[in-house]
Amino acid sequence: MFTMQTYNACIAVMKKTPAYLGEFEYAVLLAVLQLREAAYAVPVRELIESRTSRSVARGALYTSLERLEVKGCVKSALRDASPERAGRPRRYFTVTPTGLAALRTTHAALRNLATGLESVLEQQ
Amino acid sequence: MTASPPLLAERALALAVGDPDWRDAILGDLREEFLLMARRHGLPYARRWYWAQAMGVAAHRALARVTGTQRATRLPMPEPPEPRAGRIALVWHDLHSAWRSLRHQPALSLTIVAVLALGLAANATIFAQADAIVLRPFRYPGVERAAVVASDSHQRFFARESVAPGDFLDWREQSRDVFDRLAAIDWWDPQYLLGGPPQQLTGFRVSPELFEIIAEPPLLGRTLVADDASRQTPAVVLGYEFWRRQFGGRTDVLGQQLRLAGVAHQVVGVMPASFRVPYGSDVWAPLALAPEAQAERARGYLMVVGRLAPGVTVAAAEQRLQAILVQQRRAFPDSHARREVSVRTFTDGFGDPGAGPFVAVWQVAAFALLLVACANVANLLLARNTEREREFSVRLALGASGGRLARQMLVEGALLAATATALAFPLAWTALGMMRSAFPDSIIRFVPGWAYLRLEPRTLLATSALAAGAVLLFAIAPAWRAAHQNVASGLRTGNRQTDGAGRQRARGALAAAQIALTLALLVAAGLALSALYRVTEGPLGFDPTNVLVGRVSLPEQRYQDPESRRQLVARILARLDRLPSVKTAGATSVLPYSSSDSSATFWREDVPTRQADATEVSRRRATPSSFAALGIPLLAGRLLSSGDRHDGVRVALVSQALATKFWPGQSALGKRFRIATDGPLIAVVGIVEEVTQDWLVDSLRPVFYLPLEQDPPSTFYVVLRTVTDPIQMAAGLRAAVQAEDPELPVVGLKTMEGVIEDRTVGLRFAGRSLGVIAAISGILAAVGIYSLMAFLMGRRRREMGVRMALGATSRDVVQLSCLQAMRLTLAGIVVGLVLSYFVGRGLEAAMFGVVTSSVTLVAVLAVVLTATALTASYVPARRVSRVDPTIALRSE
Repeated sequence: MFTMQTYNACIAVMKKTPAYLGEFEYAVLLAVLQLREAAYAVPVRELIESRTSRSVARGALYTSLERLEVKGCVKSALRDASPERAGRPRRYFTVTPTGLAALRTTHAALRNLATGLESVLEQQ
Repeated sequence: MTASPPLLAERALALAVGDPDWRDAILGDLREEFLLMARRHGLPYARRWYWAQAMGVAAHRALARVTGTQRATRLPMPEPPEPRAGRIALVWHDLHSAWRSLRHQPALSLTIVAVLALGLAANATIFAQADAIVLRPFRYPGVERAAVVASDSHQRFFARESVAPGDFLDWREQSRDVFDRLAAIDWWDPQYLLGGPPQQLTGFRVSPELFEIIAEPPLLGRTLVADDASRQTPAVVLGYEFWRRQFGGRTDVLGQQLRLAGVAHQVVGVMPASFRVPYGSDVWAPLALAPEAQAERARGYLMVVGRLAPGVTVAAAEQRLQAILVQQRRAFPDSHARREVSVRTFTDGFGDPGAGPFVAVWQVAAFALLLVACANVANLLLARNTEREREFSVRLALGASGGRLARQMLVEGALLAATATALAFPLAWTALGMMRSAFPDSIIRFVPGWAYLRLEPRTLLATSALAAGAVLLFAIAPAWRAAHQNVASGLRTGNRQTDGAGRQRARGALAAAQIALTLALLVAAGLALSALYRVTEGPLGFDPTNVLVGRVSLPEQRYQDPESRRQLVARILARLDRLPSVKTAGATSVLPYSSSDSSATFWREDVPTRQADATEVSRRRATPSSFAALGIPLLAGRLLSSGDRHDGVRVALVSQALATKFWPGQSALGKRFRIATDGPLIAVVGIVEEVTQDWLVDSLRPVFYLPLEQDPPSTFYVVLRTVTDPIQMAAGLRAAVQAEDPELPVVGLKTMEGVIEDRTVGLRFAGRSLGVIAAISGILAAVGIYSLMAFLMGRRRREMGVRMALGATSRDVVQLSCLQAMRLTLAGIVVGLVLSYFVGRGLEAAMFGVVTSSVTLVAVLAVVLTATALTASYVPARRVSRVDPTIALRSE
């Protein structure tokens, strides 16, 4: 029986690995991964800021998260609506297998590129 | 107290974000951090912080939407420098590449240009018309200070010919502070004899001040001056057309004498063709009010035009005249108890009252057509750009900015629109020519501004502006798309990529919008055409077939005595009755569909004859034979007879509407009424069928008919019912009248059907042009749906191949695509129904209640449109479903 599910499965198989991640996307994905269950925009931003010592524009973060979701690198769920947030839920993100694969590819690529440069890169 | 973020900032942000899930998450996050800020740094700081953040996020979202979210993903690469040779070179470069890309697909480019040209031409035509007839119908020097005064309140049908001579003289004397000139105009259609048969001229008697108020200089000689009226041979000024027609445009006409209405007049000047005040005219003669006319207070028949004193507004002038009216009410309580006075600008007062709403309806329709065209073009461009995705991807990958691609899309759009505009002008020119020839001269005389119905610079300007707007409408979506291109996936998958959800939505929305607008246009056209059908084919209350009519106006001087008029009518009718192919000959004071009507005050016998208790009804005078000649059926009682003499008992026939209005629930036969405070009682002897007087006015206006013999009018219509083709009797009718009085011309000899035709030409034209606009729009919408579905199906060939390979039947495939088309169509229909409601309302208001909205009509049109859209989507679906899956899978 031909159903929408089989069709989607066919399409999914036909799809190839996701795109090479940009630097900022790479950082966002890493932060989401670090935060595990607690990854919504506020702590993700704080984590990136504190660990990279760079300020992160909220707008850029939201855009990046949305794009990652469109690409299938993260998925999100809405929960924890509290009075403090005027009843608005948090959008929690988790990294998908696709996202993990993309992260690995990018990470490996960068690591490969950096091989042999440790002495230069890790000064100070 | 809990602190809360600035409401306005929250709202603005919510608006910028759009997507509800994201909106909630983002607003929640910011609120959470806002509270933290407030605790740490105090509320004012937190609020400032919130504003900055909200605006920052909003700007980011907006930017992401415009430039595409891929900007950040792209590996940073240096963009090739844009040509630096200056803006001109840059524009030239863009134009050049736009031209190349349009030439690449000539069929598509031509289709787009043709579609746009149609929409623009429709708008240009209607705009030229609106400008000529509604916005600037009069372009005389001094017209901006000219005003019209009437003894009438502000109504839609402003009664200009309503000022009593006595009132006019009072005003001229007492309102010098607001009007530095005040002129009266009276209708005057004199007979003119010069060899050949007598001619009926159209003309006016005017106060010489008219030529100061409208300061158009004469073509030859001079205009009228104050002492022209008192001269032995009154002066006369000729109209341009009459001068050309009668005197071949000779200049020695000045000083010649003309016999007009039996009196010698001396020609003193010729006016240019553009001078048509108050309407197109053959002659203008000085108005001399006889002493008894000067005292006339009750009967208002003059038109009054004034020049406002410097700095005086129309409202101020009206106030001044109201004050004079208060005094007049005291002085003449009988005639002035219910009199009103109002002042309007010249354009307002003499402009066609019906034209404004009419033209507005057309303008809206033309604009809707342009919107449909734009939606269509936008869809075609989107489809084409999907084909060019790979090109865009390559260019983006090579470093072109999204903005650069977007600019190219806009330039391509502008090039298309410019070509379409150039094509639209000759189209509009042709349409205006058709419009000019569609109306008979008898109508045009009363349509001010008709002479300006041509392509003028402002029309060209407005159309170009509209074209520029259209570019924005149809090129924005493709430009946005081009900038939004996802470079990586575009490169990798090339043409195999299926559409993103957003793009499909955009295309679907465009197709649905076309359906919606088309339905509204179809409804408008349907309503206008059904109104037209009702007006021309509906019950008339008389039988116009085989009827010939002609108007006879008697010169006042020779026919002052009613007895002479009575005898003349009787003799003419007797002559006509003897003609072999004439069944019946009659005469009547008012002809149905003749645009003239005469009204009277009406009191039932049991109502006190005070002005305040009077009702206005229509009064007609008719010979007994005229009912048979016009074919007006008798419903009860008897018709008039030759025994109803002027010296006998006063009798009348009444219309069904009058009978039910004044004697509801009882028979009107034998009831009596008065039409003057001191007049005799008139008995109702018969009730006749309702006659449609005119589609412009309420057709159910109560009417009574008096025997023409009792009060013969000086202008009457001769009506002949013939056995053969009525127009063949024209010569016979003319001969019969001139056998009695060789100086009497017969005017407007026409069949009754011709009279109706002339009177409904405006509505006919409106209905048909709306029909044409709707038909074009319908075709565009069908083509739009077809091309959209054909394109989508083409894109989904591979997908369909997969489905069929996995067991879907070709029926499944067709069903799937038809369902998609159905969703679009239904969405369009729903919006279209809402639009149609407003269209119906607008038309009802614009077309004087002739148009009545009909649910059935709307339903039928909606079904027809749905069926058309489904058929248009079926064809491409069917084609795809027949493709062999293996070929489809391998094909790309």
